[in-house]
Amino acid sequence: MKLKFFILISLFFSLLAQATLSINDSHSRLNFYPESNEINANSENILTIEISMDKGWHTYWINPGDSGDPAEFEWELPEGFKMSGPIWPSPDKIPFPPLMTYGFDDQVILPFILKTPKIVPKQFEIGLKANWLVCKEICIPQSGSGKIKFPYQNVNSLSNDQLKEIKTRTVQKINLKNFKVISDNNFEVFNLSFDFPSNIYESYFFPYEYGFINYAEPQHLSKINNSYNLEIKKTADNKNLNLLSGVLSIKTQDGIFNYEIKSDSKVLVQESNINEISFFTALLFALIGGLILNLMPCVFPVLSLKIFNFIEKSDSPKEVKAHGLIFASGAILTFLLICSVILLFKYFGIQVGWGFQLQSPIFLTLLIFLFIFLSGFFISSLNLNVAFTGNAVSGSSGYSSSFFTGFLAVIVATPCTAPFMGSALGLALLQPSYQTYPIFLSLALGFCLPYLVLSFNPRLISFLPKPGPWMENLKQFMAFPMGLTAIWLFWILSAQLNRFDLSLVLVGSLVTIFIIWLSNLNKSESQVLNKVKTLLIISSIISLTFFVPMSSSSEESSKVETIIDTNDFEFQNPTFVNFTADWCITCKVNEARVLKSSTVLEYLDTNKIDYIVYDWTERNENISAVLESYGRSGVPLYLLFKGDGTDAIILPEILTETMVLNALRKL
Amino acid sequence: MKKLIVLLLLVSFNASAFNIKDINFINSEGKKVDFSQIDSEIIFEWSNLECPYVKRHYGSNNMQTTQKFAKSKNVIWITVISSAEGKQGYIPPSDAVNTFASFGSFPDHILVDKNGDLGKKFNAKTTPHIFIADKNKDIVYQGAIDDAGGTKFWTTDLNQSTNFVKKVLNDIKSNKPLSVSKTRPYGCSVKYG
Repeated sequence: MKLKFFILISLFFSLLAQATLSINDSHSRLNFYPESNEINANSENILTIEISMDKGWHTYWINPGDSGDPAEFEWELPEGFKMSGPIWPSPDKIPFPPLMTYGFDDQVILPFILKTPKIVPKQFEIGLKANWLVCKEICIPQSGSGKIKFPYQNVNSLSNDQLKEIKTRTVQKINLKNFKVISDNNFEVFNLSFDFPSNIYESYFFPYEYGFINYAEPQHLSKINNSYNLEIKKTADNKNLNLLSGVLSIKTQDGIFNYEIKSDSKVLVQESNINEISFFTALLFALIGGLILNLMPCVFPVLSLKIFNFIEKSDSPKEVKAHGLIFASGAILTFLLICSVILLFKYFGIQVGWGFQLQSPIFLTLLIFLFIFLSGFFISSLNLNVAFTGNAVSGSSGYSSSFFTGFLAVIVATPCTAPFMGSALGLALLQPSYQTYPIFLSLALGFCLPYLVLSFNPRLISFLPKPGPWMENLKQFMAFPMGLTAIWLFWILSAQLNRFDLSLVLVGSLVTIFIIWLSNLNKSESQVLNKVKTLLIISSIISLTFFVPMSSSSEESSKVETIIDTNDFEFQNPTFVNFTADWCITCKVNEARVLKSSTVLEYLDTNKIDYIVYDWTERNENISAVLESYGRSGVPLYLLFKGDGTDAIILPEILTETMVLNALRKL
Repeated sequence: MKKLIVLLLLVSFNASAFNIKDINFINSEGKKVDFSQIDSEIIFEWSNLECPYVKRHYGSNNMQTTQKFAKSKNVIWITVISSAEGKQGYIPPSDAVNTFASFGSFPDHILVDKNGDLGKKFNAKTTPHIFIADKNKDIVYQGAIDDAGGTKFWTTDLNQSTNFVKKVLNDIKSNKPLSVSKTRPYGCSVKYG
């Protein structure tokens, strides 16, 4: 309907439309423009009023927001005539913190419809009385009245800019595809959900009536699967959403589109909003993910120590149980600690996810030293109790070592992401903290589950091999996976540091080995020599801090794209997008096994599918934001874009060649 | 647990349940006003004498009549000015009583809230914006002074409009359930700093 008006307006105004009435007040002017220079009988005619204000002043929309009032018009018409309107155009947000108002800066053009009777006199008059409020910090009411004589005499035409203004602000009464009002069961927010063919930069909902929404609260737009979701804070009044109506304003690269929205009793009440997986699925996924985490190459050696411990103590089930519990509490507390750190970062507006630590060269270097130390420790005859707690007693006082093993196991697990973990933690980080903690707790429980089961069922332990010298050999062998992990971490670090800092890290690693050698020396008979040894160990440990790089210092800029305009995450051509990081072992495995295989590369090449890599090795907020918009908190993430504006297809975290080829064929 | 949280949210966000017992403020004459020490109902009027809406309510004598009505019912009238220093409507505390008297307004207290603390506690948005506290100091009404807001404000005879303050006070004094507890406040925005 309104589109039709616009077409009419543009057809006639440019040629014929002219102002015949002007009202001047202190800070604004009102101009009247007819649609054409003729008023026909028995028809609908568009008349337009423009209010132009001094620079910086504004006037209000039909719902003014927290303060202000819309303009009012009183018409004096000949008998049989009927005026309706104004047809309110879509407004702008005019914030006035802590308040929010809706209105128009500098100018507003308001169309009216004049309905004429069957017989129209040759000459007649229309009277107008108008009152409107203009504000700029302070508010000043404006008013005026005048008469419009038909047929028109002196006339000006609407400019092209004015016509453009009408066009951008016209509210369309077209239904948006799959439009739904979704009321969340937490009573705080509701969501407007709809499909839209092109990429939306920004969206805002202007309600027609008071009491539905909290105007000053930001509205949050997210894109999930095929639809957009605008999250809006309700007011305490908790008004019936079935009566909701207003204007949804959508900003895209092709311009601004405004749609009239009416909930028409189509409100859905949904259990949990936004995410693909529910809270309980996330709990389950976290549990499974935690369980699988045990098999990751970096964790396994440390955990095997724990099992040795169980085997050695298999004759005393009580002690095994206690050790199992203490180990579990160490691990669980560490998981919760990491969760708290992540939430703290989030609180300060820094976007992080699982594995974020590996973007810090300091943390990476410390991990390298730790893995080198563990490697040396495994190969030497050092006792873990001596190494970590400084007391060489076994038995009940080894509890602290059990606790520490739990802590250590989680620390060494941080570089790894197991299957299932990704989507669970992705959800966890998007949720309020009272849901984040349970998911992390579930992950921790999954991680500890095998040991808890073992320690509570001593009979299971008897299925394990009997203790013997093989244990020492296996322990020594574990030094090699540990060493390999250290090398892998060093390789990640090499992308973040220059050659000089990298050499320092190597020197630090050597010092670590030196410390192990020192601690491993037999006790000398000379007290002085023993003291010198202790002193050397302490000073070496202190000197290690010198080799820790304090910031990243990479020489070359990253070889892959790291800058994403998160507002415009879309591609014109069919595109395969790979979010990766050097420290993400799943990513590297996928790349080596699948993405760099000649069949996949050839397919991409022959079918002209773009392959784009986003590197998250060093933290990048834009990439984090994109990951989050797909419900993930970490890499890998694989997306397939058709390139026609439709939503991306999300591939699983672990890829196979056939799966990727099948997905590519569907493009 | 989730239900409990929902319940807590509901309670804390239910605006009509908000209580002002624990609030006190120094009035323009330097006297401490402890809301819990006042044993009648209280009407709070957010004001800004330079705001055209407030001007219209004072110019038509509508505000003064409403205030007189409240006083006849032994209700305490408190005028609050939350305009920041230097912004429209700010009055130095020493001038406040005389300025309002010159408009024929004699509130029991004038609170010059130049930091906007009280305004933000009440979530006052416009001038005028009315809050009515019952004897328990629960805010039982918040919103506009009358139903004249909207497209017809500038042409309505304010003395003919439905006055919500009078309505609520009549309901309270005759122990009837309130016919209205929340309306859309209308007017200029409060000129917070």
